[in-house]
Amino acid sequence: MHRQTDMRVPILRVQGVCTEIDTDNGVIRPVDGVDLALYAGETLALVGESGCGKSMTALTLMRLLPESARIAAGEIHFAGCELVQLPEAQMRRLRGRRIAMIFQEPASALNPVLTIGAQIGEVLQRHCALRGASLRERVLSLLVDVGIPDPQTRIDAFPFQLSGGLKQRAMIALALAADPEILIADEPSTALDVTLQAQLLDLLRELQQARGMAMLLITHDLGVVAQMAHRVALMYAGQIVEVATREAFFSKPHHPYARQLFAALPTLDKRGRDLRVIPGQVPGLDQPFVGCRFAERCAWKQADCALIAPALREVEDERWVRCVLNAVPEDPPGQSDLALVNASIDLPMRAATPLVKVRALVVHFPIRGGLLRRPRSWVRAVDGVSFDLWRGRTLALVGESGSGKTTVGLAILRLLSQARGQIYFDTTEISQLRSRAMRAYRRRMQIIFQDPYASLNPRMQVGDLLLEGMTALGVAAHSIDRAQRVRKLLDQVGIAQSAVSRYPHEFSGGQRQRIAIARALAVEPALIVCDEPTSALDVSVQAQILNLLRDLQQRLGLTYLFITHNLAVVDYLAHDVAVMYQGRIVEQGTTAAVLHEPQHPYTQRLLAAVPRIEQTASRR
Amino acid sequence: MWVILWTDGLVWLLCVALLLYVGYCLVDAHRRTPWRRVFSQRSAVIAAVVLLAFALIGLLDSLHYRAQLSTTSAEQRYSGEVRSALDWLLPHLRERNEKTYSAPLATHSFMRETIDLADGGVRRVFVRLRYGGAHLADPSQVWTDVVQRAGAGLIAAILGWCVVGLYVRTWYARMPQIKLRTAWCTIGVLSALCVPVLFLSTHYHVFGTDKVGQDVLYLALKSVRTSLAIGTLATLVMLPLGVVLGMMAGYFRGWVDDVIQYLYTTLNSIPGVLLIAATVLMMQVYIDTHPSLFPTAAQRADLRLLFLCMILGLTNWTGLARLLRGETLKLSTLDYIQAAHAFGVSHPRILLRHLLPNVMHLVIISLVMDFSGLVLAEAVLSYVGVGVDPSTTSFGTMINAARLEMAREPMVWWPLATVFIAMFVLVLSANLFADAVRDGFDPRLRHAPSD
Repeated sequence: MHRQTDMRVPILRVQGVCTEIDTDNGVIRPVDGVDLALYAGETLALVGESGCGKSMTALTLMRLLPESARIAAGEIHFAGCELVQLPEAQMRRLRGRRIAMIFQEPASALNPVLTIGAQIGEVLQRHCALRGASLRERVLSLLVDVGIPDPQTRIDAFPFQLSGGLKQRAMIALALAADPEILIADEPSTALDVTLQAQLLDLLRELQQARGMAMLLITHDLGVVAQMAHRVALMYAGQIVEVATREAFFSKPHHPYARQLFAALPTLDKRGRDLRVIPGQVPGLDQPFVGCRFAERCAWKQADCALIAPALREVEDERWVRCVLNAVPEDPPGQSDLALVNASIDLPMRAATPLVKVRALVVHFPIRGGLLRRPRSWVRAVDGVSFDLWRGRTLALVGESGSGKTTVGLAILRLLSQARGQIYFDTTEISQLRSRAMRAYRRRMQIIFQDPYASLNPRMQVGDLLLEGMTALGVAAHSIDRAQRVRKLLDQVGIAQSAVSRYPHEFSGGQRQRIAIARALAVEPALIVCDEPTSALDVSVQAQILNLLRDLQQRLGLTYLFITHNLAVVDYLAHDVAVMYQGRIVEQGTTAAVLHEPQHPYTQRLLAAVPRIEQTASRR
Repeated sequence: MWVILWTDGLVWLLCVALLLYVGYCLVDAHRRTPWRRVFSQRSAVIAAVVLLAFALIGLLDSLHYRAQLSTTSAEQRYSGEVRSALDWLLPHLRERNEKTYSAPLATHSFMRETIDLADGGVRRVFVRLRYGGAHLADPSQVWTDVVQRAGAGLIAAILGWCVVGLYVRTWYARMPQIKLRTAWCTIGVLSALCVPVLFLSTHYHVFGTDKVGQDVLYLALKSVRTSLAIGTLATLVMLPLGVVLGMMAGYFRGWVDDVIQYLYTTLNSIPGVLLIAATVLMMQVYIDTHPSLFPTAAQRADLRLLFLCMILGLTNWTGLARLLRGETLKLSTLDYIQAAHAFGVSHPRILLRHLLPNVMHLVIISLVMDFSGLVLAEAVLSYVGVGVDPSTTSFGTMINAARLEMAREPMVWWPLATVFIAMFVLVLSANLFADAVRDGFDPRLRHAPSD
């Protein structure tokens, strides 16, 4: 379809747009000279890691910037108007009517005190001058369009009465109400589970094709891009670094950043090898740049890269790249060899007895009510779960949110008083141990959390954070020994020694996650429960953490219970998999067996819903 | 002989604690940053300087002694009257009492007095005041004299200000974020207002005199201590209650939470004034029946003040407790608390090391915010008659007296006007400072660290 669009004039053309935000620490430029063209009927995916300026670009197009921000330069051409100079009153007429936007969080984008019907009706009233019965008729047909079941009753529902997926659909209906020509979707499926995400993306694609809308899809998920986009624009540090058709982008990415991003993605064929990491981090946008912004992290860096800023130029038909390299670069020297060395070490054999044996684990949370707060009903978070954790291996616990994965992890660590069932650690039943007797086992198992910002006490220095476990559990009795251990731990996770007297807020997300890993390692555990340790991190940082976890497992013989919803990570890292659904394990076995020959219908459904890059060639 | 009244001791103890906290903040960068944010706001600096001026008056008035009566006799005897350092610094204000009301800067009495004439007749005339403007041979010169004295005061103020300025200059480089220039200007304005008043007060009653001829300026200065004592000591009582109970309720949940919630719901449903009135009256009965316990009237009045502080604290901790309960509930589900549980860290240690530092900003904010409320509460309670002892000077008792004065014809307006100005400045600066503290400590206003 997009082949034909080339001849046409783009409906939205962005030229050299710069957006500036005033902060206490000076001006930052999250969008710095962005050029984009959007054709009718196509989906353009704007991809990049967090802090690259994707969302700011969307807000700039809608002219919905926060008060401290302004468009400093550039032009936006749409429907014969120049949007940057357009008076606000006219811009308001465009918004919603001709350019609409859907947001990541449907819960906060819908007004909680108005019914769905009233909110959609408001848009129609304003832009289409519909009233009364015809208005309701139109709202109903929109609800049917976005696939909300039972629209006759749902039209009068308040947002809180709808599930997350339905809320997102209602928001799409709201955006589409006035039949806009351009839909900007800012991470539309990130807050949703995989199966819901798949449905939603299908819906968006159908609606787009039926209406011939142009869609600007903003996402960080390359899998989603592979499924949805016609063309891809890759963003880095406020600039577009590569624009290409989807096929070209995925088959032979040109810009080094794109190449390195793909190399950092965990996949099955990289199993047993280190993922290639992108060194360093996205530069702060408050500095003046000389030269290429990616130069410091680039594997193909050349002498003058740091001095001359490359322009976005057309290297071949329909492909624009902001790089001095002319051809698609070969693998950088020296990295592939390293990966092969590690390839031989994989899959430790199962020992005679498992490290941890979980039998008939049940966690029911009471819902209390009435004067004496007696439990009225129970939430069956975990409902009879049994599995084994083998020494030195990784068991991935997979499932959608609400399936009880995290609850299982907390229950094994005896952090939930509501847990019932048997947990054997090295043949000792620990589920009934009193807290004093439990202390010996607290040393043996630790936990790493998802959110690196919430898992470290912001008021404690890193050194104290690492010491806390040792003090509480009496590891390394002497204070000199402890100080030595702290230094060794920081070394192990690759954090500079000077971190000891610094506070968590001085570190980036990836570094915090390393500190959290060091804290868990401080008491020399045998088992670490990893609760979605990489899902809050960007792809390049995720690769660093996964490499670290794998390395530590090989060196220290650690056992992991890896809780995740990211099946690519499972494919890359796990030895065994257990799939959870509504508090029960529906299927378990080795990774190869479960992920590649799934038996249970739910597992099959889950696997089918995951957007994968490999499917690119087969689709459409 | 030094006399340490109960409230004196506590106020000074609080001062020492405050100094320790300041020192603690200075060595630790993490605790310094929010305060630096507070003092980078202009209104906060102005309010802080004004509050410090009030605190200085209050602290000077909290150094009490009993004057020695006879130095010669072997047996030392002391006056039954307890005085403070402030009285010693400003003797002319305390001692030079008129007979009754006199208007601000007046040279003659406010009301006509009957005097016997030499020929046996009587006349009703405005007589010259005993002290106010008594040095003037010609009372019609009063305004020239006032302007001269005030001008002299102004010049002295400017000179002093410049000397302070030279000293402050050296700090500029060291603390660039803090608005020292604003502080310096505030000091200038304050001294330009206060020093002339001080210069005038030696020969005039700048704010007039009250019914028994006491200088209203003196009364207002003495009231400052009462206000500050109530504002700070009541928080001292409510702080431990609010923090301990609030955090326990939020952390342990279950029956502990239920008990604490029932406690503060019950306490909240009793009208505060009723509780305070009952307690203060009970205390009064105790004081009256045990006169031997109190050597001086000041000590008697002080005990009542202390009790008022305590009961105000006891009725006011619920707000803080509820706030901290909510915050602790939220924090205790966070991952780092879970991690601490996974290490088997004990409950008291989690409360102290992990939770308390993370709710400290709320404690500081609510402390500063409650201060002005308590100052106002004292005024209202004393006005109703269940506040401080009638012999204690406070804004409340002054307002109470003004009730009759405002009903007179001609009206005696100056005591109430003075109280109004003093309280307005005190409460306004406390509120401005509280706002700035809230802004400085509120984590939502903080900028995310750049990754």
